[in-house]
Amino acid sequence: MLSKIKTCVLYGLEGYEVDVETDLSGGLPNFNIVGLPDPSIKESKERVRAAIKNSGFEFPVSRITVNLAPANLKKEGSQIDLPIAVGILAASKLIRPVDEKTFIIGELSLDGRITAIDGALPMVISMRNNNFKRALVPRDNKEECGAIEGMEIIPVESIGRLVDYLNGNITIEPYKCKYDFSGGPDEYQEDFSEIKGQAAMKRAVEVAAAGMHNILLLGSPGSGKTMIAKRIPTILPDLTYDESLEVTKLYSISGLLANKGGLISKRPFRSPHHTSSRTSMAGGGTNPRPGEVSLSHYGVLFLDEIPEFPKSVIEVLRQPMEDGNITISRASGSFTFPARFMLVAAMNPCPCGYLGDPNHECTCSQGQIDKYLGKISGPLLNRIDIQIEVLPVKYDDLKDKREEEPSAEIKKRIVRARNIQLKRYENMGILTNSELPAKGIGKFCRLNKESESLLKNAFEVLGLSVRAYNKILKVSRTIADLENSENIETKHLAEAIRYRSLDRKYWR
Amino acid sequence: MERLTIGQRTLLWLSDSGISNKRISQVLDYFGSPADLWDNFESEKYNLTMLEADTISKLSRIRISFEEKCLERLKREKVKIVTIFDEGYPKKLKQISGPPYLLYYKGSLDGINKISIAVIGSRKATSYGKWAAEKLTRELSELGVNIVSGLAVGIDAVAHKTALKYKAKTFGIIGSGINVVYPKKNLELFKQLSEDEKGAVITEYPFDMQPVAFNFHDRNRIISGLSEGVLVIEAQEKSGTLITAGHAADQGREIFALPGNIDSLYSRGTNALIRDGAKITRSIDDIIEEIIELRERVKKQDALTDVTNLTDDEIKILNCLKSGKNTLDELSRETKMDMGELLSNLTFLEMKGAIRVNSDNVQLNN
Repeated sequence: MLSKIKTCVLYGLEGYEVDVETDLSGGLPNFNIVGLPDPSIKESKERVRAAIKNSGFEFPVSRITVNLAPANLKKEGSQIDLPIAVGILAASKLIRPVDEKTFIIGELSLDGRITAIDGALPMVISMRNNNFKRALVPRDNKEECGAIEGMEIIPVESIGRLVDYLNGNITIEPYKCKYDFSGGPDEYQEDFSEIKGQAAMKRAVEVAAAGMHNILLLGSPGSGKTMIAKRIPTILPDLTYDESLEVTKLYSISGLLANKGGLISKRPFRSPHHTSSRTSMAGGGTNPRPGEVSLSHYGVLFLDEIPEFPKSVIEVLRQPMEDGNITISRASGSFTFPARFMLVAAMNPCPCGYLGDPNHECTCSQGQIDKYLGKISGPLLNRIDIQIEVLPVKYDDLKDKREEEPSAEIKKRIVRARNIQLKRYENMGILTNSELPAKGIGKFCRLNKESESLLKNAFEVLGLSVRAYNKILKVSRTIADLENSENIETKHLAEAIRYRSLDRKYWR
Repeated sequence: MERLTIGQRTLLWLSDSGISNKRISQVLDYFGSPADLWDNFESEKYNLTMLEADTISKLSRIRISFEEKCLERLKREKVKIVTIFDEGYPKKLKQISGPPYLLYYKGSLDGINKISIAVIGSRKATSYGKWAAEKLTRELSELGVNIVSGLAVGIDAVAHKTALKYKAKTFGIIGSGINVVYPKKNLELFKQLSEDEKGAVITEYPFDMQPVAFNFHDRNRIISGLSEGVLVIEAQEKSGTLITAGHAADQGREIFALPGNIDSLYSRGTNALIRDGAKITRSIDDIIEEIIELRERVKKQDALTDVTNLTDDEIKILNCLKSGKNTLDELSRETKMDMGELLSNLTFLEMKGAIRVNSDNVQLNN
């Protein structure tokens, strides 16, 4: 009267194999779960009992012991409901034993239906790597899991059908879906063509997007900072299959997959509010979940009004901006989530927003202004490649009837520039120019004689700070890539120099 | 300074007790001369109705071994003083009403009697204001004119920095004690101005005086008093800058005002000055015209821009700028260059010294 069912629990992004062993024995009727279950699993008892009964099966009147092995691993998550129910049914000989290469995940509702769970995708991927061949998943999770190669996805919606399937009374076709990530019409609401004028800001954003450079937009209220930031995803290249899997995993464990849909094909755009806490930014919790930095993995993290964010929240960004991932240490262990994002920060030149604006009076004292700008720390500024100042749109530009370039056109150029970078950095473990390490800069960002002297002059005439040096080189590399030019030419460098103008104006 | 003269000692003593320039003048009138004041103070002190009792007792108290303490502090802080009775006192200041009896300074007052122009303006200047301040200060500096200003942020700082860069003497008049740096942001500028050959930081206030608002009103009369003319770059209506202009008018100094757009808050004050009779300043020539000594000194500088060395694209941009198109959007539209190309050409032009780029705004240098 013993059964053994395979299932899975998550630690961070990794799924671990867990055996659900069920034993039915004589004695007073009792139902115990052992093996370090957390409260959500202890509560499964009630759901399992009701679901089995309401599906028309008999809940065994005997002493039931469920052991979750290995016993030293803490287990969390409602996906263990279903394996426990199946274990009990198998132990009471209502279904045939389940083979070793099949695992079961799913949450139960009291009427016997199987409801969707968070994190189905990372579980399926981890179990595939553990040589499992078949997964029984809730029907509502089939879209996200269906694209995984090498794993049969059997979507089930109720205990009744599951029992029929396991007993061979019915067959359920393994669910397969194909995703096409190349092209296809974009369904964004916004488009670059809606932004009138502001050509300089658009160009800077194009360069930033082409090299995944972090960018700081500085300007008075109404200059269109937020408007343009919201449109950045429309010009970013589509996710590749592998990137999409990574992003979807993160969204899956956070329970953020829209309508339990399939793989995410659009680059994420996250804009946390400045009241966000450190934990929401970095990720955390007793069993850590990804934070905003990870949810914007391969996409855009937009921080509007960046000086309004508490310093502790901003400083959290430093590690991920450097390493492309974030490590969260908790009592239960340390977890690493990927976090390769493009930071888009927007701010006003002073607290009231009107410093330097000829049409409005700035009401801030010098002390207030210094304090405001001082919130952007040197180390953070160091990690922002492109800075650009934007002035309010002029009325003439607004009523201008001329067609502005649509996102699709800009995207084509960016895709081309990205492909050049992907090819160049094929075996280096980086994807874009912004990630280029110091050693790589020497190799890929060589300047000719003329450019060398231009840069030297620029440092003197424009009073650039030394920390701008590598940034300028990386950005010129991107500009050269946008033009499909093998070498960095002087004009590329000259343009890149323009994107450091704020350093000397505000932070000196 | 080994010893103090009797005049210096007396004035330092009065100033150190914190009494205002006006009161000093009244006390001196009462006694007739600094020496009499010092000698007869104790016997007369109860008849001094213009002073408060507190002040009188403070004066009596600090009088004891005053000279040693004072000399020690001046030496320690590397501060020098000059009184209205001394040889080195700025001649122009003697002409104004209510001249400061005592000036504390760091640096050197050499050359302060030569032609000086005060360059003043709003602390929160627009990019246009900063550009104009830099351009005009540079041209004045190259003519060897001293630049006087108030060592505040904004236009003042631009004026001082430009003067230093082009090797003109520059004097900063502050509204606090000489040892109080305000605003802190200007510490570096303070240090540079305090170097002997570069100019001086000057104040009429005693050590440790904090920069209270009322002081700035009074120090403005020294800024205009030290100058032949006052150039107002940008000013809002009802601003400290306009107070300085008012002092200048009272003192019979020339007032130059930079015209600005009528929709700019920071040009309202200057435009109003022009309406009220200030000289409109379209270029350095408007200043030279009014100051006789300068007219003689003028030798036109060669154009900085080497036009022979420009590419076709660069010339196209310069022509657009000359026609008044000066935002990046306008330039890109007019020259039909895409933004990347335009930006890189602007860097080349800036390197060649032909233009200045200020945020979204491009300006010609000449």
